[in-house]
Amino acid sequence: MKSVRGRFGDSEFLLPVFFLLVFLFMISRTPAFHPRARLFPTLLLGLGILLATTEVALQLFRGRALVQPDRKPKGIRREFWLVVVIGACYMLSTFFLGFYIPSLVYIPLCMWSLGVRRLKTLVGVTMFSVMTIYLVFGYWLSLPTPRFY
Amino acid sequence: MLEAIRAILEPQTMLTFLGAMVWAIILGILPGIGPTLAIALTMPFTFYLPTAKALGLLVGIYNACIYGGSITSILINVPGTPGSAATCADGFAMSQKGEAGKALGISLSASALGGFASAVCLLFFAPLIAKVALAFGPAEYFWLALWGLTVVAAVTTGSFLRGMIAAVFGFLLSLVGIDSITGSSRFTFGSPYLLEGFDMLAVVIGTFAASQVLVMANEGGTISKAGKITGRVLDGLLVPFRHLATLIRSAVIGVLFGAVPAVGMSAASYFAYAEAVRFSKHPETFGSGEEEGVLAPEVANNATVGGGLIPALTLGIPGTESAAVLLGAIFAYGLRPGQNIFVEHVDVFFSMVFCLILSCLWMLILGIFGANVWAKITIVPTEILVPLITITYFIGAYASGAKIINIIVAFSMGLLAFVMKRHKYSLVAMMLAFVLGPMVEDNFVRASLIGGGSFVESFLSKPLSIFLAMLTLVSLVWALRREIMMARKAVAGPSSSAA
Repeated sequence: MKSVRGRFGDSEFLLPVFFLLVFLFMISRTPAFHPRARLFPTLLLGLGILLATTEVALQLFRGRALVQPDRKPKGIRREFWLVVVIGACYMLSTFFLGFYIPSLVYIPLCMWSLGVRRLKTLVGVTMFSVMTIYLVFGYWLSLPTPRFY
Repeated sequence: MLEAIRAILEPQTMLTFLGAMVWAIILGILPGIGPTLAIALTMPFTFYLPTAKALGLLVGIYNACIYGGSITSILINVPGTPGSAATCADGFAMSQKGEAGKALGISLSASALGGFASAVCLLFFAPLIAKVALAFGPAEYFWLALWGLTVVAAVTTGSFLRGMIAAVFGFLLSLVGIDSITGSSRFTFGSPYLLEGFDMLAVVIGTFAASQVLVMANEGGTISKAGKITGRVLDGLLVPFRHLATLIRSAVIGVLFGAVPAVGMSAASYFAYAEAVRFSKHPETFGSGEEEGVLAPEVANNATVGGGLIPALTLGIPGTESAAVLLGAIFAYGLRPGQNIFVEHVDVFFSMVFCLILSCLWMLILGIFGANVWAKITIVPTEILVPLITITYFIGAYASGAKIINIIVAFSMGLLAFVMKRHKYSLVAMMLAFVLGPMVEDNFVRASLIGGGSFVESFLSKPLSIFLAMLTLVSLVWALRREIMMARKAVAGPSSSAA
């Protein structure tokens, strides 16, 4: 059986702990609310703390939840982390550079990180998708896209 | 009535209508553009048409746009409209099994039948349904929403405890922003961006689309695990007729939820989905590509069209957000709801009903020809789809409210939903609580204030509220019984197999 210490590095255990911490933090904010606006969040977060604590306790001491998931999730590939990091950079860059310029860099970079090496595909998909989005959202529908400030 | 039908069937009008249907389906496919925005965007182009045709066209746009939203839900797990988010769970699972064509067929047929059912209700039962919708006060809204929340257990396919934690988290997200009763801010941490709360579309897109991007990046390959499409559109078209009970139940839910003001399409589709799970003989198959999991929300979300128009046309109270914009169009054309439409301009009313039915027929024709082509997206390599879906969901999240915070919300929700999905925390339960949460709280407080603190006076003073309270109680007992039975089965399973 897995030791208690070993369980701290287990994501099955970390997720309910995350929820528990969120609920505890949020309930600590409720006393500042208007009395009428406080009742529901307090009750809800109380319930959340109870449920998350039970799940943590089950993971910690019994090593399983009420209904055990069928199987452990598969591992995380290196490509996943690359997509997350590139996606985060893309998100931040849209705040400063608007939508189109970061997209021209993000699309080929993301495809490259996932294993696409053909230059024609990289350039073709990038140009086609950015042009389509510009035509549909920017030109045709005149809908807002993140702008360069 | 015949006069109105003849006017719509003129070749020129039919061609205009066909173009409008294609336009509406495209707008529905694009995330961030719901039926409300679609109607608003189309309205200026209708001013050259006669009033009856123009308003009929807008009703058709409303209906077809909702159907369009389900296409991306099924193919790439990106809900085009919040109302089609409930379709993601089983629709996308069918695509992963190579049955995208069949799933699109079910959604097409279900959407058309939902729209048609709502048109029939609009035509024959409008005064009756309007009366029921008006009987809804805070207590009734509260019980209705609470009833909806009791189905969290039904939609939780893994651990019940984890489903409940996900639901509490979803409820918590809905509490962020200004409290509608007291006007005080909650969980905003001094940020002006959070005063309006989390944008529903940003949360929906993040939960389903952004998390799916991460799943694809982690797994690679194609959406269709087999790398090919086996199910055909025509296979799916007849599915609704094999599940008549689900079809009728979902249509009734859609019409009623559409007619009751401020409940909306998202709640209707989630509620119909949850009821389909609850009544199913094999609820454990939901979430892994169950036909009824596509059928129920798709019938319900299109059935809200006619439902939403009932109080709008009879009383001037829009049942849904999109019906409110349509009501604006009715006023813009110089008409007034009630007697003005039903007596003085009855041709306009018939034109709207007929166009709703006609839009269902056009949807079927366009869908049958288009779906097999759209289904091919499920065999496009994920290396190409990942960046394309990312930029689409960024645009969709931003377009809903034009706020940068929406992109951050979608991205963060994607990361969290990815982890939750891996550990079997129900995303549907989270979204159900997020959608119904504000309705529960607001109406609980309102009913308490009206009843002066007495529980019976506040919540059980009318026959309708007593009826809804009883339904909630029955639903709760049913959910608990199901959980106990499942726990017993889980305990008995290993020992019986060992024996």
